[in-house]
Order: sequence, then C-alpha cells, then structure tokens
Amino acid sequence: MAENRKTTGVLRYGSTLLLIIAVIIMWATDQAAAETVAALVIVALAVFSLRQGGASQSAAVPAETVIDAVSPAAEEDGRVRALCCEALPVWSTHIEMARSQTEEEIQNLANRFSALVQHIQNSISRKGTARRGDGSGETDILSLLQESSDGLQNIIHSFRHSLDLKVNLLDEIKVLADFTEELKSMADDVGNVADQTNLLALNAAIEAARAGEAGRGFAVVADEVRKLSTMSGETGKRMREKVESVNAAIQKTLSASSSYAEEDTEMVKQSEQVIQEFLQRFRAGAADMSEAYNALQEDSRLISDEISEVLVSLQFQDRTSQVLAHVRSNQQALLAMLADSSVTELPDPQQWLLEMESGYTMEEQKQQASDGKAEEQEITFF
Amino acid sequence: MAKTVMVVDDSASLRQVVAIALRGAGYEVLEACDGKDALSKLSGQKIHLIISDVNMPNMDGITFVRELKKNPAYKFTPVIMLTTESQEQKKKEGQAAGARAWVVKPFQPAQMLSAVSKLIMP
Repeated sequence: MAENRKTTGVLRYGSTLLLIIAVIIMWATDQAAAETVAALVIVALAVFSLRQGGASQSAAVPAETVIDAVSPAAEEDGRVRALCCEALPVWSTHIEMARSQTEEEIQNLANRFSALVQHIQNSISRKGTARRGDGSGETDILSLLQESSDGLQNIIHSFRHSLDLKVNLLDEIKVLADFTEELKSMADDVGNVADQTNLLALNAAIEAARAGEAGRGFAVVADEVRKLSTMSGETGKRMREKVESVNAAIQKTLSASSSYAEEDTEMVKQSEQVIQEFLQRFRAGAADMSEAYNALQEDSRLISDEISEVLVSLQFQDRTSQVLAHVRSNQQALLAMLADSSVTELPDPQQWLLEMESGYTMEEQKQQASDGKAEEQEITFF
Repeated sequence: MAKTVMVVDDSASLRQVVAIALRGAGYEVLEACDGKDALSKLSGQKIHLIISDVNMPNMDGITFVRELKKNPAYKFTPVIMLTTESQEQKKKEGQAAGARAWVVKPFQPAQMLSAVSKLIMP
C-alpha cells in the first residue's frame, strides 16, 4: 500500500507539473510545443487514472488478495517510472526550446520596435524644419517664411528706390530741356546782334564812300566789321541748330524715359502684387503645415504613451522565461529522483510543493500558490 | 552631454526594453549580460547609474554590486536593482550591498525614469 501511495504521489507531482507547463507554453510559446506537451499530459493523466483505478480496486479487495496483487502493481510502478524517465527529458528539451525561441523572437521584436521608435523620433524632430539654401543649417518653416517675406519685401523696396532715382533723373533732364530753350533764345540773340552789326557795317561803308578819300580807311574797317557780323550770324545760326538738335535728343530721351518709368512702375506694382499673393499662399500652406505638425506632436505624445504600455508588456518574456526555468528545474529534480533506484520513499507532496515554492522569486508565483492574485509592485528606495 | 546608464541583465529582450526607455529620455546606454561581463566593461569609464538584475548566471546582481563598491571609481555610483525577486530578505541583501533602489518587474518606464533621474547626480 505504501508503494501505491508513493506512485500516486509521483504521478500527482508529474501531472501538476505537466499542467503548469502546458498552460505556460500555450500562453507564451509556439503552438507545436504546446500541442506536444498537451499530448504528453493526456498520456500522463491516462496513466494516472489507470493507476488510480488499480489502487481503488486494490483497496476494495480483501487483504489476502492485496498480497497477491503487489507484483503487478510494482510492475506498473516500474513502467510509470520508466515512462516518466523517458518523457521528462523530452518535455524539458521542449520547454527550453520554447523558452529560447520566445526569447529570440521577443528580442527581435524589441530591436525592431527600438528602430521604429528611433525612426518616429527622427521624423518628428525633422518636421517643421527646412534646410537653408546656403547650407548654413536648418530653420523652422515659419522662420523661413518670415525670412523669405522679408527678402522679397527688400527686393520690392529696391525696385521702388530704383524707380524713384529714375523719376529724379527725368526731372533733371526736364530742367536740362528748359536750359536748351534758353540757349536757343541766346543763339537767336546772337543772330539778331549779328544782323544789326551787319546793317551797321553797311551804313558805315556807305558813309565811308561818301567821305571820299578820307573815308577809305574807315571803309576797310566797315567791311571787316560786316564780315565779322556775317560770321557771328552764321555762328548764331549753327548754335541754334545745335541747340535744336540737343533739345530734340533730350525730348526723345525724356519721352523714352517717361515711357520706361511708367512701365517700371507698372512692373513693380505687378511684382508686389504677385509677391503678396505668393506670400499669402505660402502663409496658408505654412499654417496648414503648422497645424499638421501640432497634430503630429499630439500623435507622438499618444504614441509615447502607447510605447510605455508596450514596454511593460514586452517584459513578460523575462518573467515567462524565469517561470519556465523554474518548471524545468523542478522537472529535472523529479527526473533525478525517479531515475535514482535507491530512492524508495518519495517525499510528502506538501513538502515537495513547499520546496518548489521556496524557489519562487516572483510575487505572482507565490500568490498563485496561495490565492492566485498578485499585488502591484512599486519602487523601493533605500 | 548625455548621462550614461549601464544595464545589466541576462535577458537580452529586457535589456532592450530598458534601453528603449532610457534612450528615449536622452540617456546613453551600456549593456552587460551579467555581473562578470559588467565588471569587465566598466574599465574606469564614467557611468552615472547602473540598473542591474539580481538572478543572473556567472555573477548575480548582489555579488556584482558588492564587487562594484570595492572599486573607488564606482563607490558612489548609484545602483537600481531591477528584478522579479520580491523577497524582503533579498531586498535587505541588495541594500546591504550598496543598492539605492529596488524595482520589481514589470516596471512602468515613467516610474523607472523618475527613479533614474532622482538618483543620478546633477
């Protein structure tokens, strides 16, 4: 009977362990390993049920019959031990395989997640900035808009200044044109003086002729004066022609310049209008970008919160790994005990569970062993 | 200049999780897979804080902190123990070894970063 209890206890430990393993692996690892363990659990439970049935039957028969039935029961215990000794290493290998595969995949996931986080952060930090054309670094888009606006306003200001200079120049040319009118008048005066002088020389020549021999010398002087007056008249005439030519050129220049100035004024006006429309569109675009940037920042805050939650979730691998390591360790201890033929008396199940519990490190494991509810942990500062 | 935090844990995924949280907050991160690896990687370089697991192969976290504190260069480097271990006895061992805080996994990143900034010297 003692042997029966011992075998029943072993099977209870084995079944408990198998159930824990199956639940953990189904929770945390791949389906194939979980199915393998589940199948083994079914086999173990079947053996356990068979053994329990045998034990019940043994308890129901008289004492004499029990003595006769010891031999088959011992034989069955031996088969159970052999089965466990074969099965436990396989389960142990599967647990380790599941643990390492999960660890590897979670690490890959964490690596990819890390890259994703970095990518998002880089994108957010680049949004709202633009490279300067002169390569002097980066600026935010609104500052760039303001700088562009200022630059374009400066260009318009330069145009206006240039236009003002042209108008001033035209005014100067108009003054010059007025001077040419005066010059023309002066040239006319020169011509009039020459005509008067010529007339005077003619009168002098007449008077010299009337004086006879005494006026001969004076007649020569009168003739020279007449020649000079003729020359002065011609000079006055050429002066007038030149002044008229200059005046015509000035008038032509003045007319062309006035036309250009009007065109320039119109061009500056249109340029200013185009630039203002362009800046207006640019401001609207920048406002949209700014709004999108703010929305992106809000999204990034939400993503950051999600990341915090994901970081907490990703820590399950470390905890699962430790649970699996404990299960594997206990499994190996059970295997060592079953494989040791010198061990004839197995420990009390409660004692075994207490020993298992002493190896628990996580609060959940301890709470699971008692009421199944873990308490929330906090940071302890020393 | 960014502060450097060393993360010591035998779980690569857990190290990565801690590193993501720290790098996101602007810290530089140096990783080690156990106490022995951590001691070999210190080699006199400036470390502002260490976050260490307790149960690790080769050299556990408590022994690592004891060894760390023997080195004058790291005598005052704050250490946070980050572990699934919640036994009071273990906490006392960590405190006696020289750890400044005990964080039980899973941790909230914000809570961890708060503890890190609190313990790192300005």
